[in-house]
Amino acid sequence: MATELRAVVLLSAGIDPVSGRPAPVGTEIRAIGLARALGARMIGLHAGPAAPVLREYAGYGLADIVCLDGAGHDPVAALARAIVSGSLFTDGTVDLVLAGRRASGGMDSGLLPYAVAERLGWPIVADVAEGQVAVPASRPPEFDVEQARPRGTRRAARVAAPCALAVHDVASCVPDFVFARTRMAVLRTMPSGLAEPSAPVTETVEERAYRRRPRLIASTATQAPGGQVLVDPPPQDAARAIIDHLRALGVLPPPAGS
Amino acid sequence: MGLVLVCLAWGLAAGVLLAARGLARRWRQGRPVRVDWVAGLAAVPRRYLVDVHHVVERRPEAARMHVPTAGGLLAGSVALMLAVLPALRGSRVYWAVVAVLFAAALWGAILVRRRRRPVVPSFLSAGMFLWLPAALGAYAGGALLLALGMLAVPGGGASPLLLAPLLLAVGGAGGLLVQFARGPMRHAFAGTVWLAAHARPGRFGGGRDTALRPLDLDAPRLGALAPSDFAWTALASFDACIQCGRCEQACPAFAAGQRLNPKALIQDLVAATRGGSAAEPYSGSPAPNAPPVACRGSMDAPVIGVDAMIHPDTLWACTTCRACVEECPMMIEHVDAIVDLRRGQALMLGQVRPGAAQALRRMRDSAEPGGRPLAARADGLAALDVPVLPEGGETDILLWLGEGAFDLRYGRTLQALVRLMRLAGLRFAILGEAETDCGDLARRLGDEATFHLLAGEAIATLKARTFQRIVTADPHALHVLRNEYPALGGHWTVQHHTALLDELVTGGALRLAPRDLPPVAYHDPCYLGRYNGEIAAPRRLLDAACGTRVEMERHGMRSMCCGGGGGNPISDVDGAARIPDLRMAQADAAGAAIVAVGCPGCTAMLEGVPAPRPEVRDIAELVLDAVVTA
Repeated sequence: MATELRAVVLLSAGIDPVSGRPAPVGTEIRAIGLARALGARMIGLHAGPAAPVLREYAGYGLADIVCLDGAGHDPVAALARAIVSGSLFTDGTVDLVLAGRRASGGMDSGLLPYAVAERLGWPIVADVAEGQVAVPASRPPEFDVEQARPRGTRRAARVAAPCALAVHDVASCVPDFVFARTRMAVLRTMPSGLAEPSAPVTETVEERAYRRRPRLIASTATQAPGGQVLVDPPPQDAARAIIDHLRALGVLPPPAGS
Repeated sequence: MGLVLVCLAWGLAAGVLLAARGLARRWRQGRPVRVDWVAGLAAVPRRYLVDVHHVVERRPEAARMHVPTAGGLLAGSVALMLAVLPALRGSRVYWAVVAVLFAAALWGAILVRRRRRPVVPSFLSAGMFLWLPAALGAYAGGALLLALGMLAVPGGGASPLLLAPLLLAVGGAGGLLVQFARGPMRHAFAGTVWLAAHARPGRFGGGRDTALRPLDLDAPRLGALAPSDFAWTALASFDACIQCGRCEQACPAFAAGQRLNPKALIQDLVAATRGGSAAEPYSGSPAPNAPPVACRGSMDAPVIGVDAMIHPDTLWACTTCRACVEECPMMIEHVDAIVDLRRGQALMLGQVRPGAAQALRRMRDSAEPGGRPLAARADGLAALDVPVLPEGGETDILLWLGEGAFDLRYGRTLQALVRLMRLAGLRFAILGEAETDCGDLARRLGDEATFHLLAGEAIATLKARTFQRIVTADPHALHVLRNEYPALGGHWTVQHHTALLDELVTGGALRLAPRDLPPVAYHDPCYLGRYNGEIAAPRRLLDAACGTRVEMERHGMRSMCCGGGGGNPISDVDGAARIPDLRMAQADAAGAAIVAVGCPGCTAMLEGVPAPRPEVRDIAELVLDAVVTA
């Protein structure tokens, strides 16, 4: 292919949510599968020291993994810097950044793909379940992706490179795990190029106590017992009654112009 | 004329040697292995006459066929070769002996013919076998007539009357050479080599050797992708197959129409070493319902795939029950071959079934094939408050719960076992959250890397604790812990719960009163029976606990698998029937109202059979019901 895609897959040193053992993250495995489905050449990028678990991603088809040394205090800046530096691929710039959509519970963050995309100034499509290169081919390439929505629905979207895609858990593109590949994995360490912070980074995280969110329908339904009984109404009246009821509950917005 | 016969015999011997050299050259393309030839060759007569005979004589007609055929043919030909000595050529006694030997061989040829007349049974192959009796008969008959001629005309006049039998014998010998070089008769030579260089010499003389061999995970090629990846001895064993079809008749996957026929698998491997469809076409029954494949292959080409020799579905249908191995008169190791092929698919290509891939990933990530929290394993025993053995702790018996413990049905079995152990006053503990998966499933699926990962962790966990022995109700865990961990440095005494209970009952620690139950049939788990030879203790227990015990037709070492082994249930195997349905029908036919089991896999598989069917009870439950307290 003349215009071969160059993709970076963001990898975290994940943990298995059940056992708490180091394990590759499911959505990131699917990100590798999506990059393969798009026919992209891939480099894995990890902000942090080389961890043994990263080698397992190689089993899913990501042979080349770069670890950014000294990125711990600002992974977003380190990753964005590495992506635009042009030093990852020898033959061109990065077209595509793929990541999991949510943290797995290890030293990772669900916000990271969005923060990296923001830092890069690239568009990001979240919850990607499927994707392909749009036809006819264009330069820069465009991607037809499907976002997973609640209750199994899908939403189509088109996005042009360079862009970021955050992959959803329901994506079916799980690549085969090949043990022999893990033996051939190359884990490279590159300096992040970030200056060490002069003062220790202070956590600027605000912790709020857990607050139970009220559920709209459940709460209002208990307040308003009874209702209206219509016997054999004309369809128009029945529809009107249902809409009025839903408006009264606040499920539907009030009529336009009111 | 006598000299002509000598030439014929020596010519045949030379031809056989030449063909044997061709076979040996092919085998040498396999992976080299060290063979103790002196001990091996010395053991061949005993292995042939005792161990092979034990299997062959299960079908007496096959044994009766071999004695005159192989004996007459070999002895007669060797005798003919001895006729280089002029003294013998002139002796009427000598020619009488030769005549008797070839008469026996001729009788053998008639018996060989009877195997496939008037119809070829479904488990036998046709093809070259169809004219084998003719070649045998021509050679033996011709030689017999010639020997009789030598008897009638001492000195060996060149009577033109003897020309016809001579031509017959020469033609027959030529046919036998073709049968030897390119046809089934090579099993005589390949079988001898395989018996001498057998991969599991421990199996001979009544022994047992069932543990899979560890794989060097640093080797450039893992498992077998092409025929040349097999050990050369394995290639010889494939050539030793005489297509008798006993494996096919014993195979549960074949019976259920699950795309596996062990005989066809071995023959496909042979065909692959000979260049795929260019080889003598296979004429036995195929793997049932298997989609067609291209039948392309060579020594170094991939053997698995729709564009190769063997359909991938065939591999995953195997339950590793070893029924085929148990029935094979040539002592071929089908399961080793299948696991070698699975290792190649899993480790080099990642080509396992989706269900298996998920289980393997969970085993790597969560140390548990179902991805369940390890702490939940002992939930079924929560009410019994079994002590957990901490790191550095000490107890008498360590109870290994196994994967089945996550299942609440099997939890009832474990509860019964724990109650019985309490009644007997035993001191025991479980590992609790520290018990990880033993790796059995990963290993049977060919994922040796995950097996090593899990086994390493389990061995470290066990080594950090002190106990006298391990008891488990799971024969699969039993086999791995007892037979496969020693190669990785874990040596413990491991006991199946039926062996422990038998010990307690025999020793008087538990007293049983036989209950008045409807007929009970015991279903031998493959990994307890065939893999570990333990078939007596469960039966003794049942005799003590139940009123009447019946046997299914297939039981003991020749029992039929429930379909739960080898990763078959998670490999989404297509079939015409379910293996446990077939097994339950056999229990029904034996008149059993209760099927006694001793394995979580068998419990789940057999209880999955829709009613009406016999009730499924673990031996521990039946024993607990029969126990007499105080």
